[in-house]
Order: sequence, then C-alpha cells, then structure tokens
Amino acid sequence: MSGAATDLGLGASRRSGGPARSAAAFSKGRPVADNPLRRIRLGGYIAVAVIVIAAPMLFSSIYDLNVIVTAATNVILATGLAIVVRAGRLSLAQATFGGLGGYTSGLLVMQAGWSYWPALLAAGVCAGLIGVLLGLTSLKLRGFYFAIATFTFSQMVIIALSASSGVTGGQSGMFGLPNPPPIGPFNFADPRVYYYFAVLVALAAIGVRYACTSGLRFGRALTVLGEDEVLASALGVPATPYRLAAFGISSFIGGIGGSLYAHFIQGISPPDIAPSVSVFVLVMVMAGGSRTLMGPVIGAVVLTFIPELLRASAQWSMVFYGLFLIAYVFLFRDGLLPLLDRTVARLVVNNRGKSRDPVSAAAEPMANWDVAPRLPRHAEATEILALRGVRCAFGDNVVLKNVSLSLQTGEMHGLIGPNGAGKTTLFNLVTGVSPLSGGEVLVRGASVRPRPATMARAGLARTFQNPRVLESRSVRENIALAAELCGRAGNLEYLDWVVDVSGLSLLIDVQAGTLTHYERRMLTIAMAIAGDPDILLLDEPLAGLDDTETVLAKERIREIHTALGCAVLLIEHKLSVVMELCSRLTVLDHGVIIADGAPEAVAQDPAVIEAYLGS
Amino acid sequence: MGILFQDVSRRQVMKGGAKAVGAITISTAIGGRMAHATVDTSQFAQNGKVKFGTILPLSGDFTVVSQPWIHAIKIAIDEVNAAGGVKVNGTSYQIDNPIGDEMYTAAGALSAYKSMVADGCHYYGGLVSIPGQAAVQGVNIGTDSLIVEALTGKDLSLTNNNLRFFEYSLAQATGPYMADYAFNVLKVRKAGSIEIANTWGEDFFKSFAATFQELGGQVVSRSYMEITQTDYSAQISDLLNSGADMLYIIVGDGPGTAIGVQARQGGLTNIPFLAEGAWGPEMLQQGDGGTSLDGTVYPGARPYVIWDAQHQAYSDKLHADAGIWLNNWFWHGYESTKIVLWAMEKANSLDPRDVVKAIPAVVDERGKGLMIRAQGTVVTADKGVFLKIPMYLGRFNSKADFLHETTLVPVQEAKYLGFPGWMPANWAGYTASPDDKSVNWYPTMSELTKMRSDAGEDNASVGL
Amino acid sequence: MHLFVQQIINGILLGGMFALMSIGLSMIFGIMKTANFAYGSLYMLGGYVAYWSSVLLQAPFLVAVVIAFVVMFGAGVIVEYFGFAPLRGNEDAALIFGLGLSLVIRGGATIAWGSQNRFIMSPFEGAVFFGHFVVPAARFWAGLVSLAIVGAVYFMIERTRLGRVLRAVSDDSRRASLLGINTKAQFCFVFGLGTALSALACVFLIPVFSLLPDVDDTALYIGFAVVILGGLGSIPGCIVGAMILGLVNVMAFAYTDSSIAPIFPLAILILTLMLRPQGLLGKKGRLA
Repeated sequence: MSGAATDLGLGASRRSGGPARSAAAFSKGRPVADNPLRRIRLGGYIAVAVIVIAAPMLFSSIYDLNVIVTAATNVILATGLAIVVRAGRLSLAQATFGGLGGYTSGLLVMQAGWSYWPALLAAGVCAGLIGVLLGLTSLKLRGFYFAIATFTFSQMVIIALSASSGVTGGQSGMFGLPNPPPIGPFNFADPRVYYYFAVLVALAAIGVRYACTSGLRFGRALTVLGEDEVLASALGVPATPYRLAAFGISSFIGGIGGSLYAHFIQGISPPDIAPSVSVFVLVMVMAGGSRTLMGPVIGAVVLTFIPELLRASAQWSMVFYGLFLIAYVFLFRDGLLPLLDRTVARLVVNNRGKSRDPVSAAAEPMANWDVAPRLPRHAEATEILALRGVRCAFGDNVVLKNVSLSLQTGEMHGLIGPNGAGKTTLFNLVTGVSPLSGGEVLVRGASVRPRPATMARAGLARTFQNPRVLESRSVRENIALAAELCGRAGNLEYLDWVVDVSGLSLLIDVQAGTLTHYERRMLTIAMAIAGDPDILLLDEPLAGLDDTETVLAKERIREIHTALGCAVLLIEHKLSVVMELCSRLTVLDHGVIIADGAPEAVAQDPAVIEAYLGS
Repeated sequence: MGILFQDVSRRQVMKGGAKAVGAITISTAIGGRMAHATVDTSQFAQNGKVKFGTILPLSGDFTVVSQPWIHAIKIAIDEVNAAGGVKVNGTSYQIDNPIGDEMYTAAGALSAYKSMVADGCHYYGGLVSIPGQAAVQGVNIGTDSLIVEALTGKDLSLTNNNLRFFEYSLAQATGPYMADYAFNVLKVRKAGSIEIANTWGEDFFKSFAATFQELGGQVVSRSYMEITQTDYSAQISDLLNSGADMLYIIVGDGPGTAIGVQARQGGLTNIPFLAEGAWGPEMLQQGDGGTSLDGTVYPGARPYVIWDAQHQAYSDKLHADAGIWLNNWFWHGYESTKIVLWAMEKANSLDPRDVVKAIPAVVDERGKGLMIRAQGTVVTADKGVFLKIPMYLGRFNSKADFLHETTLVPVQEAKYLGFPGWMPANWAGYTASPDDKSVNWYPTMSELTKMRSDAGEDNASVGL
Repeated sequence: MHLFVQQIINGILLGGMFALMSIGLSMIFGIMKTANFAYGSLYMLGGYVAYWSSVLLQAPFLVAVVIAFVVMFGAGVIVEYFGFAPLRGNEDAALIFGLGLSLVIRGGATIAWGSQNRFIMSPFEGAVFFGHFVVPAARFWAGLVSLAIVGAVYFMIERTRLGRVLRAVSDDSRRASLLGINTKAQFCFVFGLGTALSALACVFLIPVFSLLPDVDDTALYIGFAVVILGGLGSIPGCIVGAMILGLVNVMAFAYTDSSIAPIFPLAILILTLMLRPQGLLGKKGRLA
C-alpha cells in the first residue's frame, strides 16, 4: 500500500529500489513445491472427488445411503467447528447448534407452516445468533474453561428443549418432519438426491472455511489470532469482534447442517444432540487435523464410519473409540491428514529439506545500500508519542505510577531499569493490552485510547521479550502476514528490503519454529517493521544473544532506524548497547520515572546507580 | 409410487459370490403405499433363511432392559429353528437373528434398522426408546417391515401404519386398576408421583390419576425426573410435606430403584409404593436396595406372577446362557416373536402384510397356551394389531430366591388378578391422531367399564 | 416453613456429598492443573473395586473402602505416569486423552459388569428424625466423611512439609525441579491420592446413589462444577462450591418445575465462568 495517506498525515513511502543483490524474495513469487509430492496430492484430491461423486453408486443400499448422508452432514458440522478451533478455541457445542437449527426449521415448518428453504436459512441464522451470544459470554475464557462453558451451555439447551414439551415434544422430541420439497425433478425422498445436496452444502461450507482461514484477510487474521493471540493483538487484530464473527459463522454452518440432518431422519430429539455428540464433532475436527481444509472432512468421514463398522459389536465401539482417541493423542496428534501427508512424503520424496548452516545466516554480509538515510518526516523534531501522568493498575496492584515520557520523531530512546520496574507493562499499556488507569497517551499530539487496532493503524509496532513468531509458518509467511494485518502493508520491494536488512533472505522458506534464537529475534524485528511503522517498540531485542550476535543485531537495528527514520523506544539490559545507540534515556524503577535525559548524564545519576545496585 | 430395481448391496459383494439380492425399494417414507409386486417369497428370505432383527440399546441409556429381551427373542427363535423352522409353501425356513444397537436415540435406531433392511430383514423386535420407535415407524411401510412394539405412548401412533404388532398392555387399561387398588385396598387418599417426562410416563400417570380422582382421592404431588438426575431429596421432602400416603414411581430399572431407595431413606418409610417399569432381580444386586422396595406394587403379566416349571426352565436357561435372570422384559421378546413366527405359517406367507393379518387367528388358536395367556387381539383400522393381555397386580418380594422364584407375588384380591389389560375395540384412541382433543385418552374406571360393556366385552378376570 | 428448612437441610447434605465427590479432582486439578476428564470413570472404577471386594471376598464395608482406596491409588499413579505426564504442557492433548480413557473404562465396565444398579451393605441405614426434620443416615455420614477428608487434605497442604513441597510444585514446577524436588514423583503422588479419594467418595455414596457405570458422568460434571465455582487451587473452595451447588440443586427442584430445575446449577456455573472465572475463593489470574 505504498503511498497510502492516512488520517494522520503521513507522506508517501520513500523506499526506492533496493540493494543490488536483493533476494527479491517477495516479488519473485512463491517457489513451486516438490513435484512428486504435488502430483500425489493432486491425485489424492481427484480420487476423493471421484469417490464423493460416485459414492451413492458404491454405497447404494438404504443403509449405506443413510451412512453417507450422515457423513455429509457431519462434514458440514465439522467444517463449521474447524473455523472456531482455528481461531483458537475448543468448542463443545457444535452438535447443539446443529440441534438448534434442526428444532428451528422443524418448528417453523410444522407449526408455522413455512416452506423448508426459508426455514433452513432461519435455522442457520438462529444458530448463528445464539453462537454469537455464547461467544459474548465466554470472551475472556480460553482452553479448558472455554470448553467447559460451551459444554455447560449444551447441557442447558438440552434441558430447555426437553422441558418445553408443548412446543418441542419434550424428551420424546419432534417427529414427522417432512423432507425438503422437491427442486425441479429432484425429489428429496430419494436419499441419493439428499446426499448430493448435502455434498453441495458441504462444499459451500468448505468454501466459507477457506475464506475464514486463507481466502480473505479476515480469515488470515483469524488464524493468526488462533495461533498467537498476543502477537495478533500487537499486529492490530482486535480479538473480540473477530472471534465473535468466527463463532457466528461457525454456528450458522452448524445450524444448517443440523437442520439438513433432522429433515433427513425426519425427526429430532434431545438425545440426538447430547453434549457427547458435540464432543464427537470436536474429535472429528482434531482427529482429521484442524489446520487443513480437508482435515475435518476426513475426520468426519472416518469417525462416522467407525461406529457403523463396529455396529456388529456395538458394546465394544465405546472401548474402540476410546482407544482411537488415546492413539490419536500419542501417535498422530496433528491429525490423520497430516499423518497421511507425512507418510506419503517420506515414502516418495527423498529430499528432506534444506540443510543450512545457521552461522552463515548470522554472518551474512549486510546488503549494499545506495539509499540515503531517511530524512526526518518533519523539518523540526516533534513529539510523536507521549505519556502524561500515566498510571496502570491491576486491582490493588499498581504497576505504573504517574509515568510521563516523551518520544520525538526519529529518536532512538532507551527505556531502562531493574527487573520488575514496569517497562514491559508500559509497552503493553501503549499497545492497548494493559489497562490505562489514569493519565493520558498522546500520539502526534492527539489523545488516544490505546487499543491494538488503533495503535497499529497509527503506525506503532512492537516486539516482545520472548520472541513471538508464528511457529508453523515460513519466514516469508510471517512477514507477509505481519505486513498485511497491521493495515499498512508496504509494497513488495519494501518487503524484500525488510528481509535483507534482517538477514533472513537465505531462510525465507524455512519454518519459523526451526529458527535459532538469533534468527527468531531478527524475524520478530522484520515482522515489526513489515508495516513501515513510525513508532517501533523493541522489548529486549538482544536478550539471549551471545557477543557476536549482539554486535550484529545492534548494527541491524541501527541500520533499520537510520533507513526508516522511525522513532524507537528500546528496552534493553545491555547497557553498553543502550549507551551507544540511544540519544536519550529514561529510567524506570518500581513504576516511577527516576531519571530522564542524555545517556551520559543519566549514567552518572546517583539515583539510577542506586536503583541498579540496590541499597 | 416406488421404484423397484435390482441392486447389489456392498455387503453381498464383500461376502463373495452371493447372488444379487432382490428389490430394494426407494419410495416416500410416510404414508406412501408403494405399488406392490406379486407376492414373491424369495423377496423376504435369503438363502433359505428369514431374518428377524433385534434393535435394542446396547449403549447409551437404559441398556439394562436389553439383555433379557435380546435373549428372549433369541431363545424363541432357537426353539422354532430346532423344531424345523417356519414352514411356508412347502419350504422350511430357518430364522436368522441379527442384533443392532438402538443407542436410545432416533439416529441410532434408524441406522440399525436401515442396516438390517439392507440385509433383507423384514421383521423387527425391540425398540425401547420413544424417538427410536417414532423414527422407525416412519419408514417401515416403505420397506415392507413388520415392527413388534412393546412400549406405547400416545404419540407412537403418529402414522397410519398397519405393519405393527403391539404386545404390551396399554397404560389406559392398567391405570384405573392401580388407582382402584390404591384407593380401595391400600386405603390411600393422597397420591404423589415421580415420573419420567415423556408420553409413556404421562400415559400411566394420567390414566391412574383420572380414576383416583374419580374415586375421591387427591393428587398432592407430581414431579418429573431427568434421566441424568441422581438426587431426588427435594422432591421426596416435598412429597413428605404434602402428606402423600402413596408414591407412584413411573420409571423402571435403575432410576426407579434409586427413587425408591432415596424415598425410604428420606422419610417415606412406611407408605406404599406403586411402580411401573421394569422390575426384577437385576435391579437389586447385593445389599440393601431390596428392603426399600419390598411390597411395591407392580402390574405384571402372568409369567412373573405365577412361577411354574416352564418359567423355571427358561430362568435356568437364561442364567446358563447369559448369567442374568428372568424378568418382565423377557416375555416382551419371547412371546411376541413366537406369535409372529407362528403367524407366518398360518398365513403361509413370508410377506409381513399377510403375516400381520394372520396374527389374530394365531392368537385365538394358541393364545391360551402362551405364558401370558393372551385373550386375543384388537385389530385396528390402520394402526396395527394389539395383543390382549390380562394383567395382575403383585407385590415385589426382594427375599425371593432370584434363581428359582418369581419376585412378584400376586395380591389376594380377585379383582386385580387377570384384569383386562387392553382397551376395548371401540376405544377411539386406537385410530385417532394424538392431537385429537375430542378423544377420551384417559377413561376412568367407570367409563372403562361402560366402554367394555358397550363393546360386548366383560370385565371378568382371567383365572390364574 | 418446615418444608423450607427441610430443603435447606437436604441442600446441605447434598453439598456434603458433592464435596466428597469433588475433593479428589480439586487436588488433581488444583495442584497439577490437569483437567482430568477421566476422573469420573476412575471414581466409578473405585466403586466397583469396593463392590467386588464385598461380594467376592465377603469384605465388610470399611475393609472394602480401604481396599478400594489402595487399589485406586495405584491405578491413579499408573494413569499419571503413563498417560498425563508425557502430555504435560499440552492441554488439548490431555483433554482428549482423558476423554479417550474415560470411554475405555466406561465401555469396559459396561461389558464386564453390565449396567444394572448395584448396592453395598453399609452400616448406615435408615434415617434420623429430629422432630419434623429427616436426615438420612447414609447422607449424614457421607457428609461427615467429606468434612473429615477435606479437613485432612487442607491440613496436609497447608501445615505439613509435604504440603509445602506440593505447593511449590504447583506454583512453578520448573523452578521446583531446579530446587531438587522430584516433581514427577510428586505428581504421581497427588494424582494417586486424588484418585484414591474419589474411590472413597464413590463407595460412601453407593448407599445413596447406587453403583452403575453411568455414575462417572455425575462425578465428572459435579467435580468440575464444584472446583470452578469454589476456585481452582482452593481446598476450602471445594466445600463452598459444593454447598452452593447442593443448595441450588435442591432449591431448584423444590421450588421450580422439575423439568427445568437442572438448569439452575448450570446457570450458576456459566455465570461464574463469565463473571469470575477464578471462582469464589480462587486466586485471580490463576486459570489453568
């Protein structure tokens, strides 16, 4: 988005060209995957498509058709749930939303005389709205607690449905739900027609899922939110609205799937949507693999067929199912599809991946530079970020008391102090993660309410004490996502330069989780500058680096600062670096500023010395 | 209109070399009568065998009822097979008995059902859950299947469906006698009840309450139990406080026992209990549960009130085969399976539509020889065939030696022994829609008596 | 008025039983932060150990209790060592493992022993009458036992050296192991003890609730509800949470239609999760 003029009055990008031997990592485009693996995957997809289309001919008895229609509706449910799972939450309520959909369309058709198609839509909408409601109630919960909240919700719905016998048939349920009306020559009384219709709806659901994971920016942001909420917030992704949208979409899809199933078996009753069924749907998603599009599909199909295959020894099916889950946990935890993928890859592809020398990356010479250091954006230095009397309290625990700090445009400003002084909290407050309990934060002179999305759009970026990257993605993806999500994506040439200046060009396709500590640090810096920020908050970027690496990193930071001309607020314990790089220092101790000024003066301030050495 | 075509089911192919099975029909599910091909016995038998399927909860809720029932059907079929099978049109057919898991859900029942249909099964016993029965009875016509049903609830007559054989007495016929016994013999005046919240429970309560109130009694406490509920102390204290001098427990097996035990512990130490639902030794394995339920009055059918050599033999066989003991779930399976198999021979056909028509004649001829002394059938216009079973009120005796004695000892008053456990043929409930409010769904004792005499039936008991 | 007081008594007694059901999970979840979804089925298994001891070995009630305690302690150690320990750190995996294990145990129990109700001859029969008010003996003793156990656990955690070690391990297991504490052994001990306590609970509750494979669900739901309500990591919270749940349960059934009564305790749980997820006595920010 070069040249994007924001309401804060920034100039156009000044980047032009790049170093002569730029890796041109982004503008070159994505590398092609290994050919044999690619062909096998393609073959796999074609085989799956053929089986799906031919299924009613292969599985043609009334029973088999029952099973494949059930499998198709389970695919719909699982695909919907996968959206929420990928957004970082395990929900144990998907079958309940299916049930709500089924009851809604059932009631509308039987009691209110609606035609089925609008009733189906209403089923989805009703489920979706309740999904958003459920999401609202459980915003602050995660992991196990969220799962329990959804599980409790499921139980409550079942009780409510069982109790209203007049309307919903109580524990006996509703029966005699009609099949959907025929579409042209296609009569839904024929299970084959039902099957193909369900498959079409499943494809639509997969399409929506695609949009919610990689197809749309919303989806990409959602997946980052799911992987690392803190990082996502730093990149400006607001967790609450995105998650609520994910819940709404996921339960909408669930409602549609449930309604289709209810009108297939022509009835619905509370035991069909017991909490254990929701657990079942979650396991479909996880067993198939929540990261891939086809994972939940495979999971749904496999887990629909297993109980059917075990029907002959039904009492053992529970035991077998339990053993399957235990095996899943210990043997193929990514899911069946990645397991299959890995197995095929190992059999077919000999190339085990690039071998790379970690040292060489660190020692890579700096890119040649023929661009002059950036001029400050305004003729005279102005205050780009200011804290006035800021206070940050968690209940009774006051972490920052009356902190005032001024950051000038283009300035490299150090923030130092003993451990526990509140430096990271200050960063958190500015990025909107920690509460502003008093005082003011001003950006470019205007008072703002720090929120992740607001601050990211204002040109603020940060790194973390523990380097946060998206572990399972490549370096390229990490940087591209960071650029896109903070709302200020630079052009591709700029990203090429970012890669070079961080020294990552040889590692562009490496999975981020396999990087060395130094490389990770550089990646976090690359991600932070991917959006061409005006204010860069670096939280102990040199922590954990040895002496050689520290020197290298320091030089890169210096270069970035010069080239970008952004204001940098640097938290660092390596005081020699701080003294060398920074033009100004602020010292924080126990939540209070104890010194502020030029580095030499601050270094000799007795209060500072005492704070560091203790009394 | 249906579509008939030759089909090879996957199972047949995988079994290797079996011939392509005959027609699998695809037609409208509810209410559709498909154009029926000529009666072709080969359609209803495969390889000289006829299938009689059992669908019961093997997982999920109420699995306790399954085992005796499964074995009952199996024992009945084994006996017929041992005697040469079913003879139709000069051929003797052995009977196969596939077993499926109802899972106490509609989805489970349907899946098991369709699986057996695909294998050519046209006769089904079992089906304990209300959603399960309702779901299957929506499709059985389209697949030419006869369902032998045990439980009834008002909404189980949803469809016009003559391919059903109900072998349990109706609540409407039993409730009035229970109420009469409670009022006139036990001398209770204030009834309390805890029931399962579905139409089966409702039917029993309402038919009891109608007569009880007509006689001058009062219902002072009525509450429901959740299937997952384990603590009943609140409801029991309420019962105690309301001055109830009787508790009617309308749910069987485990939950019923739990309610009884907690009631005795919770202060209702002396009041009589009436109960509906399964009862039997498997409810009280080891320990104190028994004394809490001693004296509880249950309605039962003949085998469990009178114990003779035949029952002893069955009990021993059941215990030898499966380590379980005889209880009232047993005869649900045994007698009705026998009746259907005999009806095949009587009709000289394996087509369920012919067989169901022959059931009344079979029962008339052999009914008195059945353990439950069936008195004939009620043939409805379009809701299937109902068995006429005389019922008995008996008191539960936990001290009975479960291996050799019945646990249900009949009460002494003649009026409550062998009373008609069926509704007379002129009862509108047999044909009406469950939503029809003009029907008297819960006639009182006096109304029932009048209905019977109008129909030319008497109220006399059938001797033990 | 009498009815109201009687219902309060019922609620308190039920609360005592809920506390008994939950103390094992409170230990496991509180100290080890392990969301043990197999808790219910291990609870149920403990009951069966006691049942078969009393049937096959003719063991009197208290002996059966002791046998169940010892056997399930061992079982708990095994489950922790082979199951949860390798999965530590991965919450989702532990969740699914617990789920799988509970299915195996429950399915196996149903196949092996059937789903009929079982009872054990216990020394607590009948009820005690205080004027208008009834206190069933079995519940009374279960409540007493639960108080005793909770008190003992509390004492152990807060006052003994072992307890200090456990608290250290709970707060920061990595730091604790750096101090030379064998965290693996400690975890095995806690899991074993928690499981053993749950077995004890199941046996004392058999005279009230009877024994069948399905009791695992009740123990699991009640256990987690009590721990969440009372607060993770708080032993007194176990009693508080249990009392609240017991009272709400009974009052709901007493004063609302019994078909919607079960909603009330669930509503309390969801409200707690929404508004105060750390529970009543839990420490803020200490979510698993």
